[in-house]
Parts: sequence; C-alpha cells; structure tokens
Amino acid sequence: MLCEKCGKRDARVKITRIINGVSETHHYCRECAEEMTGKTEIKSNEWSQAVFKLLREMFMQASHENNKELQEKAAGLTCPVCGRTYQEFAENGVFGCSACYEAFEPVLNDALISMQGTASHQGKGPQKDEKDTDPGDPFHEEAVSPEEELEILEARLQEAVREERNEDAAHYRDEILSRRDKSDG
Amino acid sequence: MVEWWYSKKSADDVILVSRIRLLRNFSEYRFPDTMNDDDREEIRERILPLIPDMQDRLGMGIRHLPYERFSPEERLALQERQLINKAAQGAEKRIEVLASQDEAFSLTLNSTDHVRLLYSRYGNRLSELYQKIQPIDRMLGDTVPYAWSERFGYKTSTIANVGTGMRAYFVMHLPFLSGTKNFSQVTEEIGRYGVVVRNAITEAGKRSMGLYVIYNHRSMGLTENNIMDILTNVAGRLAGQEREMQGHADRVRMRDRVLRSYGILRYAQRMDFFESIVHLSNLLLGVSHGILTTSGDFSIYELMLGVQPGNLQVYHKSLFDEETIRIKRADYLRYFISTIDAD
Repeated sequence: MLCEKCGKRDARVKITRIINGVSETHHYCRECAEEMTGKTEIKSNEWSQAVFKLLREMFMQASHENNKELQEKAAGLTCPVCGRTYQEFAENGVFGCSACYEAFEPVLNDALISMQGTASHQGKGPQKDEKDTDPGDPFHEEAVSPEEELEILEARLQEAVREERNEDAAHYRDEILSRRDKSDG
Repeated sequence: MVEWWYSKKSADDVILVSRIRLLRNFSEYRFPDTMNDDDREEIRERILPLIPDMQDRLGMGIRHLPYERFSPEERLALQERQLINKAAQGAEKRIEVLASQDEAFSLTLNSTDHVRLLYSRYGNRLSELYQKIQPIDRMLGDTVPYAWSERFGYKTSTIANVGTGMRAYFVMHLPFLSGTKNFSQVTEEIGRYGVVVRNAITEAGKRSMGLYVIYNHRSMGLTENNIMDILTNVAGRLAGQEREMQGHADRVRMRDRVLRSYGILRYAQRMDFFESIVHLSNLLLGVSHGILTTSGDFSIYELMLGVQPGNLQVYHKSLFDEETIRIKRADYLRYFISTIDAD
C-alpha cells in the first residue's frame, strides 16, 4: 500500500484517530507520519536494545538486591588494568579487558549463575584438549599453587552447595580437608 | 561465491546447515570495547601473517577481505550470508574479515570480541566442523595468548558467551512440525535442555514458513562436546519427527503445495522477501520428495540467502529502491527456477 499523503513511498505507519467517537484509520509512510505527528518513530532495534538494557540492569541489580554487603562491595570495584568500574559493567554488560573478570569476581558469581546456570568453566583450555572433566582432578596439568587449589576447591564447594549437588559438595569438602591436613603437616 | 552449498553429497533436507562459532580474546590487549587504535593495529599485524598457515591447516584458500572499503550493501550481504554478525556489519571502528573462498570459514578480528571464528557446512556435522576449526583456534592462541582462566574459561566480552565461548547452530527446515498446534510446547520443552529454537526469518504478523535456527543457550558449565551432543540429539529428534510427518502427509496436498509455489516463483513479476521464502520452503519440500528435480548447480537454501536485499543489490552491483528490489527478486527467482523441472 502506498502512503495516503505523498502517494509515493510505502505506507509503514498506521495512524488511528478517534474523532467524536468515530475512529478513522490512515496509512502513511515513515517520513510523512513523522512530519505530521512530530514524533520520530522508534526503530525496532532501538526498542529491543532498550529492553536488553533494562533486562541487564534488572539482573545485575537483582543478583545483589538482597545482599547489602555485596551491593556495597560491587559499587567500589574498579578494574586496575582498564579502569572500568563495576557500575559501567553493570550498565552495558561488556568487560573492558581480561582483568575485569578477576576485578569483579566477588560479585560475578550471582550474575553468572542467573545467566549461565553455573559459575565455573568445564570445557577445554588453550593448552589442553577437552577431556571428560573428572571432579577428582579439577586442575588437569595446569600448575596451580596449593593456596590457589584450595581457593578453587572452595569456590566449587560453594557452588555445589548452592546448586544442591550433594555428592560433588561432599567430594570437594573431602578434598579440601585432605589438603588442609597435608599442609598442616 | 558460496560454494559450500553446492556439495549435495551429504545434503539433508531437514537439517540444512551446521555451524560452529567460537569467541576468543587476547590477554595482552584490552577487549574491543576499550582498546585503542594502536592495539587494533598490533593485533592485525600479529594475526594477518598467519593466513598462509591457516590455509595449510584448513586446506583451502583464505582471503583478507578489504572490509573497510566495503559499501553498506556489501556489508549487509555478508551478514545475510551469515559470514559476519550484525555487530560487525554495523562496526564503526576498523575490523578485519577473513573468509575462505567457499565462505565455509570466516574469522572476524576486533569486532565485539578480538576473535570470532566461524565454520559452516551443509548437513548434520557439528563435531566434524569443530575438529576442523581446532587447529586454527590453537594457532591463534599460540601466537597471542588467549584470555583464559581455570575458573571462567575463555573470557569473552560479555558473560553471555563466557566459558567455552562456543555456540553451535543448526539451520532446520520444519514445515510440517512447525505447523502443528503444539509446536510452541515442543520448543518450550527443548528450552529445558538449554537449546533455543528461533525463527530463522521473521516478519511481523506473518506465519513462519518453517525455517528455524537452533543453538545452545549456555556457554558455561558444559564441555564443548556436551554442547554439541545435546544439540545434535535435539536436532535429530526434531528431524525424525519432521520426516515422519512428511512421510504421512497426503500426497495430493503435498504436490499441490509444492507445485503452486513452483508456479508462482516461475512466473511472478514482483516478489516480497517473506513470500519468496515461503515458496522456496515449499520447493525444498518438493525437491526432497522427488516432485521437483534440480539440474542447476545451486541449492534451494542458497536461493533463500540470495533473495535478501543486500545480496540482490550486490549481485546486480547497483542500489535499488524497495519496489525495484521486488522486481529484481522475481527476475532472480525466475532465472533459477526455470532450471528446475516438475515431474
């Protein structure tokens, strides 16, 4: 259908007017509709971007809403390498550099779980091919210090508890205990 | 141009295309959102010399496209053929696009993530594609170390892709299954397995023509093999159901549906994009049931990509208004459809 006003371009906008209880419908092209209503049509991709932004903010906030301590912690975080603040990250959902992950780590857990359903990686790494991950050896051939090992295990334990994977949780708990025993001598 | 669709050896008329996408970033550089032009230049200088090596490992020719000189239509055409994504199509900063001659493989540098690797082929073959792209992935990571950690896996620009950085896709043709009343329940059920089912082509207020894309929603907490297994499994079940329904379909109605579309495409003088896809979908059905025979060296899926506005304009090397695009689309279709025979 062609625009009712200019009769040249395709009619893309439907305008319904209600005058004295009688409704009239007209079809205009974008340009004529903008001219008559003074409104610039919001393009569909702008709409969807606005919705994405709202959703992102919602989930970044929701994940910390019930945890004031975490919320305060998040507000003060800044990446030491690229200078991106957590606030900026929460607004557009984009990391500034590799170090952002570690900088925001304390508050990333909930965001990851709400988006990915988990907060830890299971697939391959650059130096190794994928193996079926055995929870008994979460470190593969990577050289990790005993302290880091404990940290990783504790993170996995917490995650397993949160996800109610009781068997895995018990496994990680035992690993942590046995490592602590070893380091105690 | 798009030779990988020509090979009909492993052609499958329900699972049309398999595609693997990997996102990677380099740890030494800031991510594209915050990086400066010097970083862009440096990455370019370190990665582009690898092209001969990439060609060896993939066993095919790779071109570095002069993307910065491409017109908006040429960029749109690449996006329509799924060689680059929308972010790269609209990129304001300089990005690099590498593509194999047959367009099965592409590498986008410095767009949303430093590296976007893509490998697509006709048919049901995800793990084969993943194996083929491995040497390239390894080579890039050996040249400039990837941003990766034990906990997070591959660090991507957004948490939507973190972990494996992998998305595995199938393009599926489900004209009968998608026409059933409970298809939305089926897609909901599939959602429980973390697999997204999306219309490949949509237009407001119009019914789908049965072309779908399915892909993994989660990129973390699953291994690469897990992702491919789940997806292959889901696609296999959908395809099985679709084939069964096609097999039980009323022959006269099926022929009517196919041949009506054939007649329209063969003689129409102007054609909307959406309408052309509806008819091409019916042609695809006709080819797989022997109602139509193609003698030309092209596939119906290729025509579906070719009738998009960017590709039509690039094909004719001109800019058209909307009405001219409709006319050129009908011309393009008549030309190819005339080489298809009805039984």
